[in-house]
Amino acid sequence: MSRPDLPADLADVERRLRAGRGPAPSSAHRARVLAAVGDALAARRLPWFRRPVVWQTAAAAAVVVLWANVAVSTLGRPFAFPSDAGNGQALRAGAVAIRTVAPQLSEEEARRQALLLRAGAAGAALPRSAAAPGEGSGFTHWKEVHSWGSP
Amino acid sequence: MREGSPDDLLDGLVAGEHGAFATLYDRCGPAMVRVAATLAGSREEAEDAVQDVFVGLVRAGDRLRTVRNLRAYLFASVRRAAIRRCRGRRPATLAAKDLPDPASGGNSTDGETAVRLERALARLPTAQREVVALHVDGGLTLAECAEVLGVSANTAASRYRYALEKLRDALKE
Repeated sequence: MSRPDLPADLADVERRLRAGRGPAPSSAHRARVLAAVGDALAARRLPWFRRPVVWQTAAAAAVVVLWANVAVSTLGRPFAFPSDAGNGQALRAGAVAIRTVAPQLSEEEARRQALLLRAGAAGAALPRSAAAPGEGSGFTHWKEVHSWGSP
Repeated sequence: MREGSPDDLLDGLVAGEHGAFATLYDRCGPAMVRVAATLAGSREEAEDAVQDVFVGLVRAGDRLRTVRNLRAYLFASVRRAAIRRCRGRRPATLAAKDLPDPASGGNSTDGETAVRLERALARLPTAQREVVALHVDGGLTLAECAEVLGVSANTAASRYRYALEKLRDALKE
């Protein structure tokens, strides 16, 4: 069937095109399509909470929430993964500074205080009625302390 | 040859009657595969695209009630599915095994001409190849082609004419 408004040469091309129309579907295609339609219809008839797409969406949402939870809990806690070498140097400098103002502290205790400060603690608690300077018991005999405050 | 209009199947499709889908396939499935094959350049991808369209019809459910011309809607969906499947590459020429057997029809072109036509078709600009696919392979009128492509009827007709001229020149080479 050629269009009447086409010149003869174009009508001939159209006729050849129609004679050589594209491939027919394979013999199994009809069965495959109708099987897919049957599956989709069965899924459509399920109650909403039993549809696969609902569970896929819920699983994806759970993964996102879990990821966000882990990300937020590690955020701002650089010591959770003490991998950077720069921290060691900064800690040592902090410990030296702390021992300058509190020489009674042991090196290990000064390093621990520096670590707490870097971890974002509001400040290491110090006893108000600390033992006399030089005795070095202010932090170890904590049971004797009656009140606490921040420097 | 124009295959039957599927609009009377709309209620059955919306209601999810399996028989309505089977009838729809019998009326339009082969033409949909031919259109998709011309656009995607492969029978396998064309068949997958048509399957996508049928599954999409099931999922559309009640939204199908808003469709005015189911035939145009179907072929617009086939076009989108075929484009999605050959995104990022130019469609290949159909393999010789996918071309019709020249001995099977009374007025069929010979095998060599069919291959040359197929190659020339694959070289056409996409806009022109789409009109040829919808009009020749899908059996849509040029007005329906225009509706599917979202252009005016005059534009569809002129694209079709340009396409035929290029195919004619390719056959002369």
